[in-house]
Amino acid sequence: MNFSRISIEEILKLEREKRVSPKEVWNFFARRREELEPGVNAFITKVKYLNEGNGIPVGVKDNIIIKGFPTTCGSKILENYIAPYSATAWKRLKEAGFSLSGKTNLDEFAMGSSTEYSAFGPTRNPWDIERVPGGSSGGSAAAVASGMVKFALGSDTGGSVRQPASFCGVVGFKPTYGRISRYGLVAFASSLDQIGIIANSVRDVGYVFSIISGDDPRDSTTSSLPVPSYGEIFKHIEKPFTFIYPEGEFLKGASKEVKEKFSSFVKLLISMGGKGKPVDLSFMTHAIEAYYIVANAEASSNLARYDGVRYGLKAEANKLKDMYFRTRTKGFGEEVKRRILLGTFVLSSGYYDDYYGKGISYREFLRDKMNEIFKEGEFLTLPTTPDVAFKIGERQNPISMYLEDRFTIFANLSGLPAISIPFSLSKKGLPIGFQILSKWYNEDRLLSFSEMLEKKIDFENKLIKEA
Amino acid sequence: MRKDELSYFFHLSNISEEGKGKLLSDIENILKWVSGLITIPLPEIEHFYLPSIELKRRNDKPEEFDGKEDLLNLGPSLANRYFKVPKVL
Repeated sequence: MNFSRISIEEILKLEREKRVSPKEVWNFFARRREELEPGVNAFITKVKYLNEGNGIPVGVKDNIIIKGFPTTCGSKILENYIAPYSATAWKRLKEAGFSLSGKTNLDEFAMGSSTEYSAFGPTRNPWDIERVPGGSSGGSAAAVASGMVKFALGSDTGGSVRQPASFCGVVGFKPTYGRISRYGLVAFASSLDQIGIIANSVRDVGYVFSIISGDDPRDSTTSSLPVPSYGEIFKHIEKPFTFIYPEGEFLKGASKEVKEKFSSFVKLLISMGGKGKPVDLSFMTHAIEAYYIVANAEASSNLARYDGVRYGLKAEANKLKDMYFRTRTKGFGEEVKRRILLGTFVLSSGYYDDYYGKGISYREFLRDKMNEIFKEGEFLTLPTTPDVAFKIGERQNPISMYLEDRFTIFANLSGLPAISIPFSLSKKGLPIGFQILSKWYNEDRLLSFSEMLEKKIDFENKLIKEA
Repeated sequence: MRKDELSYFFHLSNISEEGKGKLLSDIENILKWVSGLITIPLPEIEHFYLPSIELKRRNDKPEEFDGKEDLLNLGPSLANRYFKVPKVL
């Protein structure tokens, strides 16, 4: 039985009826991991079968800590660090019976859009191993797409769950900021970071979301609003449903193929009974700049803790200051250094108001605008990425890498829930995914709507057969 | 912004200046790129936004961390101190 093609709910039913054992389920995915992992490099740490729980294997991004396991964040600076406690999201999954398959690869400290910035080598896209899987949760997306795990956790600070999900032809979901506890998620940019879920179907995403989300006294930013149970999440979406989509210049950074497919996506929504309204999103033009100011400012502060004293790598030196310098110079990769330096700059006296002050003002402005936009329709549709997965080594200029996030960062800056679902294949046979955003805490309807679309698109059965 | 001025931030970031040439060029380009934002007029903000509805007080200590394990190569009391999370309110 192909357990990667049936839902978590169905696997658990089969186990309850004693038609399959947890070990059979585990072995199915473990075989695929053994076969495919050498070519894909989705994992930093792999786990053997522990004969406990339901045997459904989960990939956990290696910036989410699990007690007793190494947590590297894809960095040399944390290479030998063992976590002393577990993240709330993982604890909840473990209590529900899920098994850890391994810690998945990522761009160092989740800073990147290709998983090429990992100190443990790049992850490769299972659709074409010459290409990147996206990032920074590229290991999680590649592990799900290649059937090595049933689902995976990632973190999404600027699109790091949705962008790799789109590149790998799977579903990636970032809920409202505050829905899933960040306790145990290694901080990159704390006001933007959010744990997200990558799976083969919206239904499985909903299942996992119902388990891991909700109030956590250990994270002061979690919301105490009630979370719908799995049975309550999926609802009938009445017709006509309302949606909005960008018009004009907004899509100019997207490839011709992505624009054409997006146009087909909008037509599909209308054919399904949607009332679509084009909206002017030109106010979002500067969002990516604001994002890179705010995110790097927070990163420079969060990464100050890696000084050779408290965690991981420690370089030898006679003086304390020299030890700091040597540890951080040796331990951090180039992209992380770039971001720390930028963040330090934008927070410094004399430049703070011009850069950081402007960044957070823009963020407020964007949030207010998003509030207005959702008066025009319940769902906002956008491309997830400007183009399909690019080749490894193709993006050498940091700005061209940053622009990969141009359609995903709005959800992080404004804290909105967003999902990427696979829509189509490019002429080269690579997946193209589209995003749907909705208002804060509207995850149940967002997931219901996405599932309705997913059924209509039938990506797995129709397009994969055609490819 | 001059490059020598920018190189001061290596010092502030506790990162040595080895191989600084490329990093400085990259940063200079990125700062030029983001400068589009700093020229646009925006309303002044009244408060810093956090998307969650309310802030709650955190617990002091993770439940599973009993202070006996010395996984960070720190003494238990020191480790406990580092694992204490500051009160937000």
